[in-house]
Amino acid sequence: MPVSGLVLSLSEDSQLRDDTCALIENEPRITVGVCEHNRLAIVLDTQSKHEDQQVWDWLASLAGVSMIQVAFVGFESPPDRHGNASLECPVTRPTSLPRPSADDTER
Amino acid sequence: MDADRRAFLKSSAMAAASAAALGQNQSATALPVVDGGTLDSSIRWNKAPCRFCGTGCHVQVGVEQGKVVAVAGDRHAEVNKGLLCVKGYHVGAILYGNDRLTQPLLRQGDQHVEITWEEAIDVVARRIMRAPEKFAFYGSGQWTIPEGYAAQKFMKGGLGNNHIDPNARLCMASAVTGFIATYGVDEPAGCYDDLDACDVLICWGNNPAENHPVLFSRVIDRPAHGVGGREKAARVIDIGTRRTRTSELASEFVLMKPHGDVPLALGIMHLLVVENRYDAAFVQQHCNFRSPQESNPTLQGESISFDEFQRRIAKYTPAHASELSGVPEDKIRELAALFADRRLRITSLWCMGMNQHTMGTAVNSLVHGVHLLSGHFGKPGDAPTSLTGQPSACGTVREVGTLAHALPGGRLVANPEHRTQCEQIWNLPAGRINPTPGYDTVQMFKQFMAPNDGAGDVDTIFVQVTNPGQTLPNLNALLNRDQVPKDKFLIVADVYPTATTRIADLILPAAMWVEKNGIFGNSERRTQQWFKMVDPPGQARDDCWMTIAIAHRLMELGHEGMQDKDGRFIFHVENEFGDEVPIWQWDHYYDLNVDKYLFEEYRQFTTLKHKNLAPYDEYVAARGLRWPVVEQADGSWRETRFRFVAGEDPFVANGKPVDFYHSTTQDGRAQIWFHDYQPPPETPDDEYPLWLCTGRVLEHWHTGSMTSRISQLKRAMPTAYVEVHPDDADAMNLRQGEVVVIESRRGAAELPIWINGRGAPPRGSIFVPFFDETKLINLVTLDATDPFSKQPDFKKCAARIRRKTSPEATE
Repeated sequence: MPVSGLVLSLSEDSQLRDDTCALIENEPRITVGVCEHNRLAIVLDTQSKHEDQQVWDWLASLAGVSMIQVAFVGFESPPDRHGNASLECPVTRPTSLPRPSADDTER
Repeated sequence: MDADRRAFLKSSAMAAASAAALGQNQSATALPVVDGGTLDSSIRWNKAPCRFCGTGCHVQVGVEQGKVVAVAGDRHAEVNKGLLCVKGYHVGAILYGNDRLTQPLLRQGDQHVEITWEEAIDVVARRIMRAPEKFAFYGSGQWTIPEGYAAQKFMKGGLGNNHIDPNARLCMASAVTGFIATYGVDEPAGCYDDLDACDVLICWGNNPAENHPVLFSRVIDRPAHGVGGREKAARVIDIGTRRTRTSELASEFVLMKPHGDVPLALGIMHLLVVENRYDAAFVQQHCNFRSPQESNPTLQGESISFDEFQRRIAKYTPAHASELSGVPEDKIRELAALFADRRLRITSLWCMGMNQHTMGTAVNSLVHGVHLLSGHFGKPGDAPTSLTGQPSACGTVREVGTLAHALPGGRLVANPEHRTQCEQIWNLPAGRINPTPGYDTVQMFKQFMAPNDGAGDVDTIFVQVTNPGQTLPNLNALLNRDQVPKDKFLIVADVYPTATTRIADLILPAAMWVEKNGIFGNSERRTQQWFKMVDPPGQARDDCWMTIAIAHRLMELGHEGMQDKDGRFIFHVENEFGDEVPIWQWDHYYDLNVDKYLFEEYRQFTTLKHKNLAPYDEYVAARGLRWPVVEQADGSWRETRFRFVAGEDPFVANGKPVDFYHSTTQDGRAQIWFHDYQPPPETPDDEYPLWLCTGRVLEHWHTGSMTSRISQLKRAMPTAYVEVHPDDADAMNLRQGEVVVIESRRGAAELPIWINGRGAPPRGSIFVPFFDETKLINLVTLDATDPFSKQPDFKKCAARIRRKTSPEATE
């Protein structure tokens, strides 16, 4: 459940920029901070990583957002332990493993 | 998480984001390592550079109960000014994938079985001992500086064997040869400050919006913070073979044919010369002209006069350059006019597009030549600058010299004086270092794949911190899992299972990033230090320790090379009482700071090429320092932003405004090269009608071995794909998402079609990212290399699309 501080680069088009800011301000999971020229500071506070990603994707999809950058990320618990790659060659745990020697290194 | 803590984190996040949005950064030097002002006091914070690309963003890493629990952009860091990209957002999570390698594993039959570290080190040492000259070490631009230095010393100073090469051969070797051919010394003269000061940014076959996003934002967001006194947005010109996210954010996109950068640069030079709009004063004072010798071409080439240069470049008229490059004549004229305007500040950026190129050295030299010829050099914002894809391709590969022909500090194995200098610093007997360059990457793996009783004289390779089973070109020839001869032995140290560990005979579990001490050197000559913050999982250990432990075991087995001329271990380290510390034993490795010890030894090598480094402790206190770093009269250490320029570079001779003091002609001048256009080694034809280009995407870094463990990144970009132009898709009756076979004369890969996807290739070309280990596009790519840099061209080869139901290529 990350809390993240983000900096959005907004469009140079002032109308589009204002419209985009209005949309973002209406998103309850976002707290809007300072806006300096076309850079807007926000805090994103969600209940799950999936939700965090959804909001991130929504921000990225907005026509008035040209770039999203990160200033701070806090994890409630140690980060993701759900990788999905695995050894194709199986790992075994033999009870008595012969000590390898240089001769054992032939294929 | 309780409400108070969450509220505190939110306020910290807002403070950090606001500071970054407002551009409130401070000088990187002489600031506390820990930025505690806005951060949670229950978390222990320390600084580190990001683990991913060559930008070198600084991160504040928060640790609680032995785990990384938070990450913040370091607002005191000049590189990133408090910001990180989406990969930096997840950099803390790369430590915690559930399939970390945690125990040495030895192949027995079709299985890998767990063994102890003692057994693993013994296996490696005995394998080397049988035939030291047939051992090769394949490393990385992700090696830390001490790791690369130890590997280099072990091979060249210990084994007397130069078969050590890094994966950086695949990504920036042509930049090295381009810099050396032009200036006589490697690495950019400018720095990231140029991005704050330029009026025009030209991206030559480069996609920084995805691959160096924080750096690109320095240009795009410039109006917000007015850095460098430039509040006006720079004009960004994206020259490429396909539209990318950089194109979307650029002022304009210029489409060129594959290989079109060479004639485009020649066409710009032609116009500057024939229209007499080059900077005659700069050229007269600071430049010579050169061309490759037809027989035995070298990086020194042969001298040619300006008249001869003018004669040779005469044929690259706008019409001819346009025909070869695909860039319209009026656009070539417009680019030449920009370079002819000395009121502008122009920065060129490039990365893999110009480096992964069979004319890589040539096109690097030509773009330097465009800047020199037009005088766009040596002022803030006027710079030709290459970027690197890995965090220490510059620091570890180019400066430490872990390439097969190199020695530390810009020295060469073929140079007897350089060998003597190294032998003296390492206290080795004279003649220990082999004068013959070792195998470059492609050749190393060709020798490995050839039987020992045939031409193959590499029988064992130790791979650290890289994944050649996914990144080598033409994988069927260079590292085919099913065709590795039985008498070969592949050792792989890594943090996760990869395409390479699956081929390996011995897998060694490695520590990564803040699980160990480290030092990187980024793309702007900035050397960056960090300390170990958390323990690695299980039995995972530092790569540097592995090298030292193997060296010591070899010494125990009687290998004389592992001792210096006084009989001491080549990695002999003493504590403050003068007692040797057995750093080859893991339990004692952190009894002292081995990184500091190795760095201080390495530092002695850095003055020859004026890449002077400060003492280790100076880097502890700084967010990196750009070399040359020299000591001032008051005892402080001063970094250098711009090389070769009076007032900035301390080694410029008195009275000279610009001084190329490592000139290959020894006259303080840079070389403007002429290279004739040579066509690519393979072009589309009736049988293979499409250009194939490969590269990276924002969400994944290189082979995805780290980023694919991050569920958010994996979800955002779950699989590789092939970008196809809509008209090509229509003509071939291909549907969005349909899985097709991409094949070349060398191999095939199956990928889903993405029409109007992330990028937009023109008709007749396709693009595939290489991050996906389940879809190995390098089975298809070409292993043709640049003749000077030996870097392969991953950006262009002839391919075709075949529908899975059709035996023949789709017409």
